[in-house]
Amino acid sequence: MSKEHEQWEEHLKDKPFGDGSFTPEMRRNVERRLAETPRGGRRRWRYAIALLPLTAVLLLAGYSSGWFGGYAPGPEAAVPPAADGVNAGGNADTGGSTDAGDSAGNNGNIDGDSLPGIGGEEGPGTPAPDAEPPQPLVAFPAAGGGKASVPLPLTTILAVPSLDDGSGPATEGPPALPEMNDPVPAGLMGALQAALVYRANDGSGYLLLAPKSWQGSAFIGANGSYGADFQDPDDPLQTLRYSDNAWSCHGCAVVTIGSYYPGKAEWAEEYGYSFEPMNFTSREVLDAEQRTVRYTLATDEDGYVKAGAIYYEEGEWGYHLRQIEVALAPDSAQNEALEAILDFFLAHRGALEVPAPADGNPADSAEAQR
Amino acid sequence: MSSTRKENALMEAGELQALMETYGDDVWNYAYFLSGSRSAADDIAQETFIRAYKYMGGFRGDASVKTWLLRIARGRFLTFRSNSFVRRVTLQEAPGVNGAARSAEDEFLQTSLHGEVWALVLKLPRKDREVLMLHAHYGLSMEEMAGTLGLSVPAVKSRLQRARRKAARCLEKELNES
Repeated sequence: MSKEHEQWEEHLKDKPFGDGSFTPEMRRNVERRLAETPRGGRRRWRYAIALLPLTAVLLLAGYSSGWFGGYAPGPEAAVPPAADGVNAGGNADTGGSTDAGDSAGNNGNIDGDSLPGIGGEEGPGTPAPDAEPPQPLVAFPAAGGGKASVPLPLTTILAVPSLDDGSGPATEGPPALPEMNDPVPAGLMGALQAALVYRANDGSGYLLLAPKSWQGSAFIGANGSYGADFQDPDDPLQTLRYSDNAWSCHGCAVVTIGSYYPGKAEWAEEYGYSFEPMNFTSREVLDAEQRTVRYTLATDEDGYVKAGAIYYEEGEWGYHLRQIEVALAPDSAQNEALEAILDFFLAHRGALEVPAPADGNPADSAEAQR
Repeated sequence: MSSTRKENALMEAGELQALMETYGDDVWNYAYFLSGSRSAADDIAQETFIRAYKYMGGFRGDASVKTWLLRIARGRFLTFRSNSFVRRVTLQEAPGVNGAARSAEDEFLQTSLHGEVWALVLKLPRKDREVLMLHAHYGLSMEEMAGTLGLSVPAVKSRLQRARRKAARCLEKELNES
């Protein structure tokens, strides 16, 4: 019986019908219907606006008839119009609006048309002209081959040097991205974002993958080291940190190599440094030069597991270290995304470096990289 | 910040296109095997992607995108079926097996359906062909099927075994008749 069903169930792995059951016309129908349907938020506003006069009438009737509470001032207690006017003016002044320019400066979206590999077509969900511009996308090839691409939302993060006194040159926008060649599983669409960190001082940048919707910030230290931090807004203990020491801090580099690389602890101690051994649950050297390590640490006191990858180069002026580490809850929805994030790091031995535009025009940097 | 988060949670147009390109046939085939009707499958599949677009923010990644879409498609089918007119007039329990006259649906099946085993599965009751399809074609785990069908894992196992027995009997009968 079991052999029999195994045999005929094998046939069910094939498609029941040929390709194209879901026709291009149906796709266009979906897009058209979405373009015609206002988003839920806009519909709710319409209902709210429609109900506003009714609410006002009910409130007026309630207060004038004494339905709402014991105190219902009569005509003799009416406040003179002049006093009322002063009060209203004072309230209007205190209700300040937020400065959109400030918030856009650190985490602004960039114009998708200027970047190769970013979808620029207007789709079904294209918002009205007065709405926020849609988030640009970066197309990655789908894992497993085929023509399909996996578009990931692009977040841009401006990194300002910690010693910036405002006198140096400032970049006007993020650099253009090259075409992406790193395959991403289609199933992770909706789980990942591509984060482009660009430096305020020289316009260069680097690209990372991170869980979608995690909030990112970037730093450039006084010694030139740099990196980015991401945090899950729904669970702040879920974090991602990327760091690059930029050949700085020789002592820190020696301690880190001694801590993470098998067989390097004694070598690091010869420099006179002492350190606590890391509590690895898995650690794997991924290359013959023994420069790339993928690891998982034991659960911390909060119950979160840190997994990451680290790479170093050796030069006559020291050590260049790059590391990515992700802290996740054991049952986190981002566990599948973790593999793609670490694979991207391992493929580039760090983040994908994006050079600064040759003449200050961001679009030129993609050409320069080819 | 909240508006940025909300914007991120929505699916982008490019993502929707890629989603339809990658999973469109899977969703349509599932809808067809549930409804037994091409026109119903067309509607259900399109509704599925419209809802996926609108509620992408609710996708937490605890299931694969395909499983998530199949769950939406099943929900759309149940809503579709709850319309009594549709239930009485449009949908058949098993397409291509009821009625003497050959309909356009039968013609479609004759020309488009690949393999005798799929034809046999289509003759099974809806619950049986659904569980067989989710397991053997879409490769869902028992837990994923339980989540999709709204059943416990033991109930899913039991339904799968029953469907296999029925399919085996059906296959044996076909072989004897031929």
